[in-house]
Amino acid sequence: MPPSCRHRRIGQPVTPPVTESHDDPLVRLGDFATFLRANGFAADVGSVIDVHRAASLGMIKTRLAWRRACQACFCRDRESFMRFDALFDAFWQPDGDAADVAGNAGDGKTDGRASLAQGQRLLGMAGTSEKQRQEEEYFGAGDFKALSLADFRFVFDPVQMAEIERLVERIARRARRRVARRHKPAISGRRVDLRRSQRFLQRHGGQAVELAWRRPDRQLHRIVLLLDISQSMDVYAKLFLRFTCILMTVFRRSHAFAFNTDLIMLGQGGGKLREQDMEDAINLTAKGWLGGTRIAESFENFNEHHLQTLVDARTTLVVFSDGCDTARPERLARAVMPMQRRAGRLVWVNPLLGRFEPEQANRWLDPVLPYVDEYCAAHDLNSLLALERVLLARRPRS
Amino acid sequence: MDQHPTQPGSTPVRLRESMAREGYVADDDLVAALHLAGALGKPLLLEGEAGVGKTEVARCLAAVDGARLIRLQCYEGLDAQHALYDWDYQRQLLAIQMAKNASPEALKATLYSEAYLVRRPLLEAIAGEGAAVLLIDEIDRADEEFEALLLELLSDFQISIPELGTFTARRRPRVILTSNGIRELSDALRRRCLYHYLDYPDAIRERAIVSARLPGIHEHLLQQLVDVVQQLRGAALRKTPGLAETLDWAASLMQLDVSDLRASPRALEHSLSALLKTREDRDLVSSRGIETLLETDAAELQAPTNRAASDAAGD
Repeated sequence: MPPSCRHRRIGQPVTPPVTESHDDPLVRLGDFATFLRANGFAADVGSVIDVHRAASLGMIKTRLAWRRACQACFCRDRESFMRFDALFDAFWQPDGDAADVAGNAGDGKTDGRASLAQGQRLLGMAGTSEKQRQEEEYFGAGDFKALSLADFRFVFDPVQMAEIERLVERIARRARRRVARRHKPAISGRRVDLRRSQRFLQRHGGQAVELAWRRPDRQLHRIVLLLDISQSMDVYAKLFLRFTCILMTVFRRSHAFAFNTDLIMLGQGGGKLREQDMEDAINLTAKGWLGGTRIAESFENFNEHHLQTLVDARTTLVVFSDGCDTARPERLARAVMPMQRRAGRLVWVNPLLGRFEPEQANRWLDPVLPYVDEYCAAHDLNSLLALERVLLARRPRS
Repeated sequence: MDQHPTQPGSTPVRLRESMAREGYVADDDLVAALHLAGALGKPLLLEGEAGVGKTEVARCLAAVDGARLIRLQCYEGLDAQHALYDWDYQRQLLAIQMAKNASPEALKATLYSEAYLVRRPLLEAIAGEGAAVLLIDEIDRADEEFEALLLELLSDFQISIPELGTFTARRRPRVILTSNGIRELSDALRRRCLYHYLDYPDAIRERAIVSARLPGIHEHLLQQLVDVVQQLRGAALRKTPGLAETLDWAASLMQLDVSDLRASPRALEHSLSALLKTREDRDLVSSRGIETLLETDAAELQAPTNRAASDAAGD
């Protein structure tokens, strides 16, 4: 392997090999194969072995030879052959231009440079932080990095959208596992409270007559979701529905509602909530997906019929909406106020927040925001990750 | 078994020079892939449009290595009897007639011996003596069953014959597979090969190739004809002229004693059949006026259907 590749920058002076695991050439080669696989290449172990053999035979002494050897071994067809140069640069040259992941830039070998928008979907694991590295370990570098900054609304390629849906699912499943993991020790039984037991010992002259027990916190907090399915929310709502649907299976006492001009109860959490059932419930309504919006009226309906029974101080109330309402914002604020007072925490998720400047995104929500505890975006995978942390915070509002 | 048929001391630079001496002007990527395939002892799958010089690579490589070129031309319906081996049934019948009194076991042992084995190209490449370059040409024309047949050969370089046992290559032949992309090849086959896509050459390399193949060509003519071919490749022709067509056309022009295309429009017209292989393409070029080929821009040379479509879109 050429020495320059070890440090991932062209033109840097050759330095002795670094002993850290991720600077091991073979490990980096494996990383590169993973990266190529994430970009649709059939880069298998055999190909990695071939490149490694070529290097150990002393056939690869320059960066160009390295590139050519990788190209011959990792490419399987014309499409991958044409895309290879851009991906190679993206991986081994972190400061270089971003490459065209999807191969949309044209057929020419040198046409693989990305536009500015595509450039945001930065490729390559080289030069990433430890946190990013951890994310990549979980999600796969190519998958996540390529799509993490892509606003859902502007992903027109069905393949990429399918990939985003898959990643949304993975984020939700990971969150679900985390909650379940926290909950598991809690339900394993009571434990001796040593501190209080010590006091009991003193009460009985040092004899262990009575022990104090610490009771587990058996109840997870509850989530109630209010999902806006009006026209302005189309792509986001479906993805968010999938996200919450998986997440809410952990929270047994959770409930989901959708609203456009009416309020629709979608179902209850804890394994009873299935995405298909929720979609069916929406499709059965008069407006279905992408109808008009009456947020304030729907919230008033919710307050009247469900607020007392479903929402308490341990409840996180999640509203997923851009706030674009036919009623005046003040009426919406009046509807939100009792919800916030009753709930432990009110999280308002506005997908427009990531797309526009805050003042533009908040133009319908200014009167409402004083009653919102957490205000989040959910327009891309990164913002969903951040939202996951908010939703899973152990303590609702103090 | 010799795992690395690449000659000691061989480098991509030397390989390129050797190929150039044999009249093949290869680009660096191709040379690197060939060198790597030789060193790793793996087959090389060459894909590309027809006429870009895929088959010629194998010929040249055989000449460079001083090896035999064993060619298997693939076609639909190609089977093991034509690709691997067959038994010489006529001679076997004669042997049966001549050995009427022999025991069945002895007769069977005699009949199914190497003496009656007809080696087809793949077995010849494996079991033959000396260095060999095996060219499996246009593999995409063969059936999927035949691809499956190749898998054992390409991964282990051995062929199993039930009556005789397994033949393993004493010295691995260089294997070049070519494909025009008519049919999608299986992943299993692709996985066993290194890969290179052979594109049309750029103008500089095409000039070098033509002058290497036709050393007597006039420099001015060379410049002109390569420019025309490069322009035609950018046009919407049904059959884009490849390198083979360029060489044919250049040879035709030399036969017609042309040294300047502008000065010989009739010769140009007569020789175009070497370059354009369909009537539609010829009509398209003729309708524009052949001499205008020397000035026109490729973008202007669009097929009538495309032009009509773009006009309609414009309206």
